[in-house]
Amino acid sequence: MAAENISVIKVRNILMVTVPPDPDDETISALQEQVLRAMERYEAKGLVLDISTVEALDSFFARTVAETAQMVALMGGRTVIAGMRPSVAVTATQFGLTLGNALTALDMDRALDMLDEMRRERG
Amino acid sequence: MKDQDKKKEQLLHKLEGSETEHKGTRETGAKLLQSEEILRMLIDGAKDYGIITLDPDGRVLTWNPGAERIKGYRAEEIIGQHFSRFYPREDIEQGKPERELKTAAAEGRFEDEGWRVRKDGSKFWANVIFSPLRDAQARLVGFSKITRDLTERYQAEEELKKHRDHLEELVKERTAELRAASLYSRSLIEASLDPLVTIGRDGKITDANAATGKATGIPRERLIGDDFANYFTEPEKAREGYNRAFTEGSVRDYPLTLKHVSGSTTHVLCNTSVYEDEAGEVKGVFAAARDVTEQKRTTEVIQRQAQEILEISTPVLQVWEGVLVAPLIGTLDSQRTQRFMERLLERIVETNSAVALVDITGVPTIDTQTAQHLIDTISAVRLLGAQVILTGVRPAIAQSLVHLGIDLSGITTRPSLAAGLQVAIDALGLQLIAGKKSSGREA
Repeated sequence: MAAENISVIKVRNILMVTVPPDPDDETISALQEQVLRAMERYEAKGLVLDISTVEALDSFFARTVAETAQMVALMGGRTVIAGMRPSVAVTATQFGLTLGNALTALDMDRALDMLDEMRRERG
Repeated sequence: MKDQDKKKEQLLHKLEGSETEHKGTRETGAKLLQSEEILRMLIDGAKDYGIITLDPDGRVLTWNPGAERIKGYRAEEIIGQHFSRFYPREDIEQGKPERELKTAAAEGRFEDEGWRVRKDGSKFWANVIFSPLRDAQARLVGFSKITRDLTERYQAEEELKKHRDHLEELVKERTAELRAASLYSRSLIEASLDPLVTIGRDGKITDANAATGKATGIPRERLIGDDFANYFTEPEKAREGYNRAFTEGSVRDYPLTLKHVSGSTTHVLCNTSVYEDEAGEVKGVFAAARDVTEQKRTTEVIQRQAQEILEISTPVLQVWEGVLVAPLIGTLDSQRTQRFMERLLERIVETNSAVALVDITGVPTIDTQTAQHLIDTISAVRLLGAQVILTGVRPAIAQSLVHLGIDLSGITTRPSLAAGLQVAIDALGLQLIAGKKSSGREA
């Protein structure tokens, strides 16, 4: 069931994933699996995780996202987390949850801009 | 006593009868002798009765062993003596012995109970019956006197009386004590400014004090027997509190609103506990209601004002498209930080701003806690994908941050808002160039 909820979309060389509203641990693990497989298959340069529908963030979710960002980096891509809700950000801060070296963006547009920017800088 | 009299009368009657029947015969004398002998035996045998005869003046004519036993005189000592020596001095002075004889002579009988004196001077409580003795011509020839020693009975009665009096005294004292104690407790209950009520298991008021009458506007007599829940604006909630008192034993500070007949209301906090009878069985609940209307109003005002202060003290302004400025004024506590953080994050999302300038020029001092609050806020903003520039870091603030060992190295800081704005514009410039295609705006 978990896997069906997730669709990894590839636009040009960037992967885009919308995280379902209330993801369970299984879904999150499945998400990581699918993203990494897509990275391998498309040799993508970036990943945008849209979490604008997510209403609550737990430690497992935060850790998995941070790990995924690290794994994506090892496979040559940058990760941007986009659209975190203010309430989620507040809770995450209160519980001291961090997203590792994943970047954040206000929305999908800005996330894509950031990835473009970085590619250009790198040449 | 009366039986004795009767027996004697019967004997005398028999004596007279036999006299009439056998008049003039030889046997008569013998029979008479026999009767007198029987009578003598009877009188001598009556050990508990002093049976004596007196002459018309009161001198002792005959004396029986009973009289000797009771009074201590032997027959030969007392015969011929006046009977008044059996009386205490004060009775003699008052002429009691003579009076008794006179009454007996006049009325045919006299009975008395009182103190009499023995030979040894000791007193005994006596029952005395005088009867006049008359001859065939009805002339007074003397008196019969029957005496019983009732000292023991008298003493027992006296003792009993004393006990009874003592008991009555005790009961009186105890009643007075109880009344005083009850009055005291009642006066305390009535003196209470808080409405106090007791409620039975059926939910009916069993007692209420004056303050309750005042709070409801209904006299005590009408409150008693009525359902207590009727006097609250939320009867269901009142009943719930009442039931909780039964299950938990007591309930503290249960907020309710009392209704007054005039329609006005009183906010109260109820302290409720069950009370038991002597056998330990729960009889109902005792409830004390504290009027907190004033406190509640004050608290509401304070809360509203605090809210207003929170609102006005953390304005988040948009100074340019994509740039917010939040000037912080006053001390940051955790509650304020929380609200500030929420507001800033909301505004960032609303205005889609990538840069937020948080100005701390108006923050008087900074301590570890305040710094931590700021760091939390900045972390939260970063999670959203925006950037915070901390401005207004005056020399004094910079010093204390370093002295406190607070690491803000990952945060862009500037001494003034103007300098911070410059950073924002630079950042914006980069973004504007990058966003030229989508927004079409010129930098």
